[in-house]
Amino acid sequence: MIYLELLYSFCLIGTLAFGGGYAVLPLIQQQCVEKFHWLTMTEFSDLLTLSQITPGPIAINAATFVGIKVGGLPGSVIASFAFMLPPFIFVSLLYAAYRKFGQLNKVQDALSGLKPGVVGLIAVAGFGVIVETVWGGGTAAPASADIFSAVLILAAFFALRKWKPGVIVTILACGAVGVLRELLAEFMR
Amino acid sequence: MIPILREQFAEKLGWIDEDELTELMAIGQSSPGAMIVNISVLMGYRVLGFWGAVCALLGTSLPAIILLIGAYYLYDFIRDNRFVSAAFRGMSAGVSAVIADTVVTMAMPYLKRDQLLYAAIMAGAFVAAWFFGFNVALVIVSCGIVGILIGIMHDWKKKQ
Repeated sequence: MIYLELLYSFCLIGTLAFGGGYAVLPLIQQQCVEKFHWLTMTEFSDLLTLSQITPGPIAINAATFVGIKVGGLPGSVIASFAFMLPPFIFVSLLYAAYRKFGQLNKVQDALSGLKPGVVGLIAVAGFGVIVETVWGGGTAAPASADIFSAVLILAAFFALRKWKPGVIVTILACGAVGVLRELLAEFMR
Repeated sequence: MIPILREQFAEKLGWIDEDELTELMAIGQSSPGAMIVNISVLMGYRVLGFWGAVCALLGTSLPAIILLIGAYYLYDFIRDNRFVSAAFRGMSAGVSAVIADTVVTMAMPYLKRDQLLYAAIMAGAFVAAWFFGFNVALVIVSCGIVGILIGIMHDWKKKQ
């Protein structure tokens, strides 16, 4: 039963994952966190971290992670291939159409509308991750905010805009800062 | 990843010329899913037909799947450690910043006067999902339909 749910969920995500690597974030959040409750928001942000620091497309990394978490090894294989099946069919059809007609006008039109929409949706998923990081899933009240995480996010964002240090370097550096802070806390006691 | 593909297939193996690679990249970007897998699949079709495409799919996805399975077991084993969870908390701040940075970079091209319609789609999708909790799938499909309508409108204007 869980396998069928994974199959359904990731086929749907694969069908709608237009617009680049991060386009799957809102879909995965909606299916895996909100609809099926396979992941908590904390696990969702762990998933993003793992997907970013391992090689390979984020979308496939995410499918493998969710699959293995809820369905073990068979689950990971089912989720990963369920995600890749609709794009494979889509690419095959587009390739055939392209060879026959030499152009893809209507598809391009649909995409020019899809892409900005997906940016808006990624922003929504991004806000979700930020709220989870700063408020730990609690209410977004100023008093319960984790100032350390908030400052770290702002510093990392500033560094990314200014120096473009690369995704993996940024994430690992933030991880190192987190560990340093924990070490400091250890010494203070 | 794109430069690696170009070097390997166009320059080293000579399976495909630069122009064709650019066209395949356009098709790959027009499809859902991971672009790099899509382009590899197209390359597979081009070189060896259907089974070439299947081989390309497996070749590009299996290493990612196997590596992530390894990483997951490691994560599952060590995440309860204090320092590891501190590292994950720190990294999740990094990921938040990376997503924010990506969104800003992706939104930039639409924040121009001649892109008003598309900026409106972007804002509309955000408002629909964040404030009204609309289903993400529904929002994506609607944006695609609006894109086609804008295309029809442009064609109609040109004919006039």
